[in-house]
Amino acid sequence: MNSSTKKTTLLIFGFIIVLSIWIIIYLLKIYNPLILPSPLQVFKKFIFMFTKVNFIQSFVNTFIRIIISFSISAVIGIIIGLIVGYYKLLDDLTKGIVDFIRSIPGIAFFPLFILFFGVGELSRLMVSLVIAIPIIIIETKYGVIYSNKLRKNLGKLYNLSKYKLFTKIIIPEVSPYIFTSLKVALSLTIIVVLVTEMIIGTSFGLGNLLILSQFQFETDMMFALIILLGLIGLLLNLVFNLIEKKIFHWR
Amino acid sequence: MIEKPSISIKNYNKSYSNNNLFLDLNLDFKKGEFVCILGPNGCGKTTLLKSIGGLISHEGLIRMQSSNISYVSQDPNEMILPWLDINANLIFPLKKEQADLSLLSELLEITQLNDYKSNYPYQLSGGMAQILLVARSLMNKSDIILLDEPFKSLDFEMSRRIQKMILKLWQSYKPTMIMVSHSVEEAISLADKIIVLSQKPASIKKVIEINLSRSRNPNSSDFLKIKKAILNEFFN
Repeated sequence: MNSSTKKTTLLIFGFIIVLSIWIIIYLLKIYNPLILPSPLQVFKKFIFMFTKVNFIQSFVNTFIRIIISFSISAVIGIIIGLIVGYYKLLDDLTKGIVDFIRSIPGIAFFPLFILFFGVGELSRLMVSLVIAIPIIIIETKYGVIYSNKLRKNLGKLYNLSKYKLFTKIIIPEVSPYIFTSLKVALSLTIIVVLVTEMIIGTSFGLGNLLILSQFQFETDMMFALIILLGLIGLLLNLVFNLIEKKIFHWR
Repeated sequence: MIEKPSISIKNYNKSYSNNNLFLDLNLDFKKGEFVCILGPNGCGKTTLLKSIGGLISHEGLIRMQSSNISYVSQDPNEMILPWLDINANLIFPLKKEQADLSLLSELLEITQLNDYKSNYPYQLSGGMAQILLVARSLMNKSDIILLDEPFKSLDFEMSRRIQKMILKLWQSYKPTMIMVSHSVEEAISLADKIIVLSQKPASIKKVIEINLSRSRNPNSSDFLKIKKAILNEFFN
């Protein structure tokens, strides 16, 4: 058996162990089946929920919220990060405040933002920006600061145009740092969107659906949703690793 | 009329944490000259070369006749772009229409980089990466080429081939070449003029003009005489 099939086998085996423990606990009736559903029940629910309109609606809403919040964070974070990376004066000016905001558990802003921006999308968006932007700023900035000085000097040496210097040297130099920060920012954005959906249950969303299922004692639905989120996370990780291998293979 | 020097260094000062590497160095390089700088370890040869290339700051004045400079650093990783393949690394300083494609294929041939041209720098050995840097400086046809121990990690055969290529290109369009080296033999084989630096703060200990015809035979008596004279400089 070569090492990759061995790895895959072990990986699947790990899942089987966890599943077996679940089945045993279920069969021993340690918990009320109302609280701990069987894997089969959850599996059925998982398939069934894709036929329900309000799940699809929630899924789409959450997805759109994540994409919008993440994109805005990325654009603002990268631009500010590049600027403060280049101009030390601006870095010194903003460093303290960026570090301070980053140190606050971002969700703490939420009640305040509800007062400022009202119950709705805007306050949700603002919380995810407050959390994601500082992370992207900091990584991008260090990317500019710590990227290879001599390589950046090549531009000077060879009289490259500003455009060529930027596209051929600076962007590739900084992009691995940006990429790392985007990975972190995206997972935090997903968390924030889900949590805020749980708090204000005004419109459809996966977080909202989780809370509703809890109210209605639909634990199978809750399990199905959690497993879905786990799968999405795995998928994203896979995509990121693929991008990394494809674009940053030279690292 | 006296021709303006290609590079003119006036009152050059450089220190690292209160350690003076150079105090008021004055030095001119003529246009088209092939100069080799020799000196003990840590005397500041690389620092001087980097200052000339404008890659580090310094005090004093360094005036250049041309802004088309190439620099081949001792550590190729500093100057190779790891995200570009070998071919792209070779021509990246040039505009597309400027690239001399016959020179490119000749360089790829001589340097044996042909087999690697769509590979990436991390797939090259240290020696091949060094060769890539030298080839890029030649490809760029710079007016001033700065070489910092370009043959350090090359085997004898490759080193000889690259030296031949450097000489050929130098003779074809006469750029100003400044090479830092630890090898007296290398210096005598290539240079018109050898500058021997002293311990820090470095000053010019001796300038030796080499009037041997090329290509030079390291076993000829004239060659050995010069070699002896230079080695004497190091040991007294």
